[in-house]
Amino acid sequence: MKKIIYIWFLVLLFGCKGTTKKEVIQNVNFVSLSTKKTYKAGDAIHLKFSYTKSSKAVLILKNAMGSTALIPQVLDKTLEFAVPSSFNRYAGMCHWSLIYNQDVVVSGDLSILPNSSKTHIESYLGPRSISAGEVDYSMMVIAPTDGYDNPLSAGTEVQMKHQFENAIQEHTLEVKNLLTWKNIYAPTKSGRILVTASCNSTISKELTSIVFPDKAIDFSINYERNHGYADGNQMITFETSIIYDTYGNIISDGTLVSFLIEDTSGMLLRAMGTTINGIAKARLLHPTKKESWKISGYITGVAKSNTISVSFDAAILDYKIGLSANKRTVMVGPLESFMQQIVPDGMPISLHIWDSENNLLEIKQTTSRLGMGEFNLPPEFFPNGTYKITIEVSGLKKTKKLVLE
Amino acid sequence: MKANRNIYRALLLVSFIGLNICILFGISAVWSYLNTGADRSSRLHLYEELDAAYLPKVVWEEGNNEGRPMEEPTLQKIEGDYLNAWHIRNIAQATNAKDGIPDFYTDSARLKLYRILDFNRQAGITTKSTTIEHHPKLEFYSEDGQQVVFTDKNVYQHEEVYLNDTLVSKQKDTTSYQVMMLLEDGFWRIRHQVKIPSNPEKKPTENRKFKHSNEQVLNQKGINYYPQETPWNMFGKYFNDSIIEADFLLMKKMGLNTLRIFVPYESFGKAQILEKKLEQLRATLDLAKKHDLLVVVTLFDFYGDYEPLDWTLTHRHAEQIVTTFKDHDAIIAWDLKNEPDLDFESRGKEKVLDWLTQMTTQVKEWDPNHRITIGWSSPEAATNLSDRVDFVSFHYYKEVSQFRDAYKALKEVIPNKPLVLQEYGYSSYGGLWNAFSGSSEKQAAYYAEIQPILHKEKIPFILWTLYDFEEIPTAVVGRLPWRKQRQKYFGLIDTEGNPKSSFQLITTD
Repeated sequence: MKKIIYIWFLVLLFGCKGTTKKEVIQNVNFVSLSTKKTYKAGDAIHLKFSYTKSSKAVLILKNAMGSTALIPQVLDKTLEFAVPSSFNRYAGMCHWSLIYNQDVVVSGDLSILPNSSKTHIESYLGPRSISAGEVDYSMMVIAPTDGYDNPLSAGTEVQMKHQFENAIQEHTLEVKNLLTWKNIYAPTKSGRILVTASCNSTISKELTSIVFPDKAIDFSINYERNHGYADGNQMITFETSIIYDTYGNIISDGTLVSFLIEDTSGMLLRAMGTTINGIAKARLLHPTKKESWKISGYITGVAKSNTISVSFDAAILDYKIGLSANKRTVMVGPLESFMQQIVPDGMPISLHIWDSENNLLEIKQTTSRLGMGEFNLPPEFFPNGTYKITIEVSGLKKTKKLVLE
Repeated sequence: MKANRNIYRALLLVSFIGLNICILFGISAVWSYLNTGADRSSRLHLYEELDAAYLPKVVWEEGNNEGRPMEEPTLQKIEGDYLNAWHIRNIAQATNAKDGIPDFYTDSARLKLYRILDFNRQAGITTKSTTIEHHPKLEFYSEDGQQVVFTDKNVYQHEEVYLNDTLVSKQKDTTSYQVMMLLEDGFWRIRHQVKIPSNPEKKPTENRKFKHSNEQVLNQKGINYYPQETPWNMFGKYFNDSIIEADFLLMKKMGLNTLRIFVPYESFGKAQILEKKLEQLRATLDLAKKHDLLVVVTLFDFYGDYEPLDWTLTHRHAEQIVTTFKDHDAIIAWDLKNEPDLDFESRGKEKVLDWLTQMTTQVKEWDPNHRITIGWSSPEAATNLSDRVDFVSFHYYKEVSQFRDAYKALKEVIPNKPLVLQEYGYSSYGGLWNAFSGSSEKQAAYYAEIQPILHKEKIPFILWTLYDFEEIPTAVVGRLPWRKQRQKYFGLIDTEGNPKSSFQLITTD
């Protein structure tokens, strides 16, 4: 019985078997015959080794992108390995190790330099929109490569030029950390900077950075209108002066300017416009009653204007109130404007109505049509009795006692 | 006749309806088939949070870079994409397939990689590699945040080269790279990677000062511990520190000074250790300290991959646990893996040993205060990596009569290091599956025979185990009932909570 348990123990716990052992190296000897350690990318590379006894060696190559194993060409007393193009074209260190029986017997490094016979330039410029002044800049990054797409060695010279208006500046840069770079500071004038680079007589494409005007400075505003009457019909136009930045550039088109208007009763009105050639315009309807406005312009968070005042005279000086035969229709008008013309349609008219105990019953509103306005007081809502009504047109109030029977 | 006609009618009607049902079913099947397929949202290149699959240690060197100052979130994104590039490339070189490469290499860079893959495919070469440490230093970050250059210094790398699936070379090396990456449609992609000469810094020579004396190692008397109700499932939902404390008190009363516990790899959260489990482990260790017990903590329970592609994840797993408890007084040793030799056949001996070798290096680096060991399943297997561990642990489940010889043979090979009998025991199972051959008496007899040997030879021991268990998870010994049944009865205390005769033997021992 013990044996059975023992067998089960074995099955349970010792399910492993031994592995084969390596062959023992017996006096095999490999010596590197290649002394050259530095190559140019693309050069054919043959690594040679002398051997004794066994030629069963492989060469492991390792560069930054990966590894491979090479089988030798066995010649009399020498092994020769031809480095494939995926390795001899890749600049940088390339480590080789000769393996016999899974052990490294000889190893070394090749230094493969970029091949300068052909040069490509990769250039990056950014940010591409900057603002005028002494603070902002674009950065030009130039990463030159050789014909096999290897980055050029540190210290390689790169010429960079940039142009703004009539001035062309030239700089000589040196490759460091796979690339070279230069900050191009914005001039105080708005416009475009063109940038280009060249290396080993290869030239790059043209890159552009746009210099936008800097922030706006304070400005002044003005207004324009057809007449000074509060007719609720004509437009008043507000207009800024030409808005400049600190350096005298006209600010960018499309800058939003808000005009804030405070009326007599302290209410705020707002009109907005965007600039074209530095000037922003905004329009607003004339008020319907005598008013005095205070107006300022703002570019929010950036600049503001002076404050101007505009007054409007009342357009309607008087009007009549008539009643229908049954007194249940109140007729207002004709409303005459400043030249005794009928006011344009749409003049607001309001009616307040109180009962005999002075309780406000209703506020009715209408607008004029052909200079007239009408209010109906139906018996369903306003039973017979005494009422007080107040009519208001263009800020002009008239009160009347009304007896409905 | 009339009845017949009705039957025909009924049949006709039923078959007509049946046919219609079939046609409708057919149409609907075709319709629903045509409506299946890829989720429409997959047309969009949406960002998906992937489980980190590649986590070598990355330590950025402090210092100023040229150009724009780096933002922390961008640096993390660059690091993530750079490591993904390595991971994708490692996978590509293991299979020579090009999947995923366009996401992490720019147009021109990937051509150079493809050239190597094509060459290797034709030559039948594959490589399995992983990097273990990166020490990048940021060199340049462009003003518009689109280009970055860094020097990845002393990348510690393990690489296996296979020729027609036969291993030809296995090397570790330290290489430095200069890397230029570009931000293209939301991915940082490698534009250039250039291997540059590296000056590996000499790592400070092992300067380890253990918390416990050699005496304490040699004096271990202990138990492989699982709570009775939750064998192989001690941490998590069923963790109960009052049960554990009661058990610890019992062990102390029995005159024992050591216990061995297990940290399962997957349920502890693999590379991202679950904070809650770590706290439970800490609570267990604190209780052990409170009751003056030493703990052998066995890592990587139920782990069995060992592939180089998986190394970095296991490193991060161990690093988090080991660094968290590197100052804990209760730990006498880290046991890196339970019975790894049982994986030799299925995973390859070399692969397992490579993984263990690297793990010993890493754990020694993270925690200089505690010893490390490996729980080999037999004295014969315990000779593996004996130079890498601080004491040698082996398990023994064979006949007691052969123990002394097996031990002596091991002692002869490893004369200078303490040898710890880390698992042994006897199942008192007597039932159908072993023809009613086991019993508590036989178990007691086993201990009565082996304990004197251990005393005489002064062999530290950790027996298996305190309790009989009601249930054995399938992952432990498989599904076979004779294995499961046997595994249930190794305890000194039966499932009812009554001590078996062996309990007294160990206690008076």
